[in-house]
Amino acid sequence: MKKNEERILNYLSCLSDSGERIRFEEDLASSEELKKEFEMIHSRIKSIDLAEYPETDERYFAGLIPRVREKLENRKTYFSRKIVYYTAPAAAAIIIISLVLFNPGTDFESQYKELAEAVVDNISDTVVSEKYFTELESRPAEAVLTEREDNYKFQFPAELEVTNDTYARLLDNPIAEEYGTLNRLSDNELEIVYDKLNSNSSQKVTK
Amino acid sequence: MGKVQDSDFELINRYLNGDEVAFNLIVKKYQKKIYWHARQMLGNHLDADEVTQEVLIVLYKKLKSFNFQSSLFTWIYKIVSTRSLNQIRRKKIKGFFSLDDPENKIEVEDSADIIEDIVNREKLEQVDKILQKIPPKQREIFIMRNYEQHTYEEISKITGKSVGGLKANYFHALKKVLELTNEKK
Repeated sequence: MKKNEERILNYLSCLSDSGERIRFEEDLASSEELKKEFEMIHSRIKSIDLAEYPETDERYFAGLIPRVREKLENRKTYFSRKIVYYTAPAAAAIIIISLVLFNPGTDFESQYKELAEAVVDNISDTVVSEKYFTELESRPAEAVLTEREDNYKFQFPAELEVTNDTYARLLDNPIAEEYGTLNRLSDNELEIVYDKLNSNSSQKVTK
Repeated sequence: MGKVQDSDFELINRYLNGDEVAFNLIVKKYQKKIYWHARQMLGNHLDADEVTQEVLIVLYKKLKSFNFQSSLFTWIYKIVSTRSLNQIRRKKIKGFFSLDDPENKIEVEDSADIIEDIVNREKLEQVDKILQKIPPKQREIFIMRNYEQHTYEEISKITGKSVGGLKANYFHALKKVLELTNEKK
């Protein structure tokens, strides 16, 4: 029965040229077998045809435009929100970078120095005492001094101004004396410190 | 077709001049064709509904750039065709990564159908079962030829494919339909 299938499908899909079509139609008129096969194939293809589209719930189509318009509105809102989400941080970043790069008044070095001076001026005696002397007491002094040799090489500038009694306490501490803190100062430096402390503090400095 | 085209162009011009009612009229004129093309391509109401809405959104947004080179009908079909094929691809990819049982999914989708008449629905389900087994591009030609009665020249304008290629695709679609209806028997 499948003998003429290709030929019939060629005809139905218009793949065959006009000569083949004419021959096919002539054969169809004269051959019962071909006619039967053609009708069978045709009816099978037609079996999945729909005479017309089924009746549908018209409320669906009536509600289509409002739903589409609602979707369009939602998308507009979504996109404007999206723009705000992305624009706000981007603008903030641009402003910050611009301020950092293009503000001529920004002088980090001097600001840093100011901050450092403020910390030094306001550091309490308790902190100095706890941080440095406790460490000195709890660890072998030689080790600490070797490790931080540079820190203990006091270079007192001529214009040094003592604003609290930290130095006096440092020099007055027996442990410091014992481990030669004072010995590290030159006579000249010691003299300067002594004078400064005498004029700013009532504490006794032992030489 | 000429009169239809003229009235379409008139509606578009009205819409371009700010008449929103004209857009509603265009939608009313084509919404069922859009829906049924998508429905037969995708085989269920939910996907067809999604595609239909997307097509109308595209229509609303892009109608401003319509260049009057082709008919509105061809232009709309181009959008439906592309969107339907994309939806099929998207579903295939989703299905590949999904652990859901596809049988259960079909039941859920069917419950949301808009066809009220049971006899019609059953007939449509049988047709859908066969159509869904035909490769998408062949299915598209089959739908356009058999249900929408388009000529090869019209389909060529819509799909951008040569008439010869379309004929070959339709030949294979018919062959597949014969195989599938034979299996059924």
